Amino acid sequence: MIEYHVRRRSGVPAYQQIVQQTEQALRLGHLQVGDKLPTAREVVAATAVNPNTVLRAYQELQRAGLVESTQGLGTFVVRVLGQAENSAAAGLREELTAWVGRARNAGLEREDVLALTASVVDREFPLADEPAPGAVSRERP
Amino acid sequence: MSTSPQLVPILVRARDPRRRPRVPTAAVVRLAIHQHRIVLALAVPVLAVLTLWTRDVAAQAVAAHAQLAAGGCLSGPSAASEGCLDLVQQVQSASQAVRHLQYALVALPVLAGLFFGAPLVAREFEQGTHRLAFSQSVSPQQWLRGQLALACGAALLVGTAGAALGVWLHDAVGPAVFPGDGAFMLLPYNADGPVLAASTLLAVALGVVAGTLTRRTLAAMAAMLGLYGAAMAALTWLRQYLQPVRTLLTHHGYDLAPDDWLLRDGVQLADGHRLLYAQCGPGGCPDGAPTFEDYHTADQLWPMQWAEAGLMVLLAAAALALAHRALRRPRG
Amino acid sequence: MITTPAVQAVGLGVRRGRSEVLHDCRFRIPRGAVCGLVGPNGAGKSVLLATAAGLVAPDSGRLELLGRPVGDAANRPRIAYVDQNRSLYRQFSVQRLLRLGRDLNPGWRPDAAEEVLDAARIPVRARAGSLSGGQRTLVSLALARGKAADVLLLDEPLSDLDPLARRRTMGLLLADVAERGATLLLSSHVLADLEESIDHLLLLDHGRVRLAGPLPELLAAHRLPDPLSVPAARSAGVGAPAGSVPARAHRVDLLPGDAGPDHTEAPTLEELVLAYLHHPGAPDWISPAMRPLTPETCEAVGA
Repeated sequence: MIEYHVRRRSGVPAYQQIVQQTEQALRLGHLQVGDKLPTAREVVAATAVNPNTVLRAYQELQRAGLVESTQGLGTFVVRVLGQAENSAAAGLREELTAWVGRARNAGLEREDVLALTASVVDREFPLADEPAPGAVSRERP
Repeated sequence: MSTSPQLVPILVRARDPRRRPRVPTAAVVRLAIHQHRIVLALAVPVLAVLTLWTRDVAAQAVAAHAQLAAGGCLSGPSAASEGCLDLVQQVQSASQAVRHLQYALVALPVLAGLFFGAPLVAREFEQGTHRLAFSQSVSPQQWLRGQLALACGAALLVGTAGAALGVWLHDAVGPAVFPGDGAFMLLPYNADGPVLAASTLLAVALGVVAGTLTRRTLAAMAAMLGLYGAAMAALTWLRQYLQPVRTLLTHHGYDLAPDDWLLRDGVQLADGHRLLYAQCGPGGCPDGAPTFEDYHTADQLWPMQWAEAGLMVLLAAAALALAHRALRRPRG
Repeated sequence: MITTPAVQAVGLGVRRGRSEVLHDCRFRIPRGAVCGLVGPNGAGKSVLLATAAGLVAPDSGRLELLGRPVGDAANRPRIAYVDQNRSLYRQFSVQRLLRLGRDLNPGWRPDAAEEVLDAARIPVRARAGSLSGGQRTLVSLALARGKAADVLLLDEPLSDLDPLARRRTMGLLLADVAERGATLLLSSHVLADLEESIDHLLLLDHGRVRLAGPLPELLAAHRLPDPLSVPAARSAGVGAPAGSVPARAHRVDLLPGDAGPDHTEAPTLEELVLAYLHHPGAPDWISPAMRPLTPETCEAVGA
């Protein structure tokens, strides 16, 4: 079962962190279709974030069609994301592992490597119109 | 806007406010016992020491008196002999020992009031632990009732034990042993029987009410001393009225048993007027007038004790009711 | 649907001697809320909590918990309180204190109490007087949690806990909110302790309620001036919002008069609280969601 880690003062709202961590688990295959997400009580007890935050994150996931809540039973995964760990990606992973090894040998620090890859990823996968954090909460009816 | 975060209402399990299980009083009393277990445990050695002391003193007095009787010193020609004087000395020192023990017995209620009654509630407020007690599912008054049950129970137990010791002493050291040491005299009277038991209760109750009102241990101790002193003074003055006064009219002066309590005496004039001996002029009291004596007989001792003890219990109950009332509303 | 509020104050005032420590407090805390009670030292947080716990009598106004006046006997099992001093019987062992909780509370949940202590490995045989400050806090919180109350009033519950215990204890308390719909009112003078855990905020300053509301609404209704475009803004005087200011874009800060297009910055919770504290003259802001339900508002909602 997935365990959430909510970092305070990271700039990312807690509910988004939960959404992102769930999505990542779905991407990496740590969560499969039919798996149960922890109950709100369990997440709250483990992370000490407000229950409404957890419920909001689960609602977002539900709206994105990734999970489905069944009254009284819990929240279950109905769809996984991406191709990160399928067989076609296995070769990519090997290449990346080799590349990271070369980078380390070349004397790059962990942060250097992350910055380098992030810059390439950002260029190849430009963000279309992601709302700024907090923008959602500003609009109240 | 549909994107606005909605606070999701969470189902609140309904509880029926009418069905309110009560906290059993036994639980509240158990807490009180556990809280005060050390001072309660302290009462055991104190009473043990007092018991041994009483046995010792009673035996000493009886032995001294028996020796006096055996030596023929009670009456007769040898009463003034050298040997008798020695024995009389022994009797006097035994009498002194009895007196000391009676002081200790009379101090018992005061000590209980000072070190048990006064801090009982005052310390709770002083240390702030009332906040813990009052945040449980009991009302301050129910909590206090638990404390009071313990306080009264302990006070009565200790007081009764002290009273039993007083009676033991009373029986062993009667007027036959120490003539002139009447049971109505303040010291044996207050160290004896129902009065000692009830005064222990009263002292503790006064300590508790003082502590509840002042919420400070030291202030409560001082107030307890003042209140108890005043109560005892008033009751001491009052006790002569608690039993019907008997009057003796004779023509030949004193005719009372050694254990009777003479209230006043004098002469009765022809017109029925009474004149105390102290009121007779320089010429002395009129000759031939009958003398009167107002007094209580020895058999009125226990009824008087019970009546006075009853008054003390009433006073104690009033004090505890006051303490109970004081906790009706919170006070910062 | 209107449910009975967990806590509701109408014109609540409390005096200590001559000074008034709470003044005309009006607010409502809905059921199931996790409400942070913040404010500088001496703002009246502890007095408010003690009053709600029934230990201090209000001098004026009304204070109701779960729809009943404070101190009502029926509320006793439903309200838990941890005071700032963690008052415990010092000569009692932890075990005996837990038994006290069990004996004096009809709905006692032993597992809920032990859960708080277990993680911290507090020796149950130790006397309360020999425990550290943080351990005593945990014992007090265990007693409060074991009571299975509907409203928990917690005075600085996290102040002397280490970060791990803080997270764990808060998690357990919030689990009760998620599971049982409990309401938490917890004070802290360190706002960072409460962030991400609370969903409502009540700011007290000098015994007055300055700011109250659900967090998202609170943050959405306030703007700070852009520090880049108005460099002097933060040191400028208080700007009372002009009548033309839309009610939902309340500007505490900082420029005199109507705050113009310069006020664009969404504040963080901490900035918002500090802005109110720095400007005592700024008008109070109480969200409708936290205004007391008077008979009139009930009718209005019902109509």
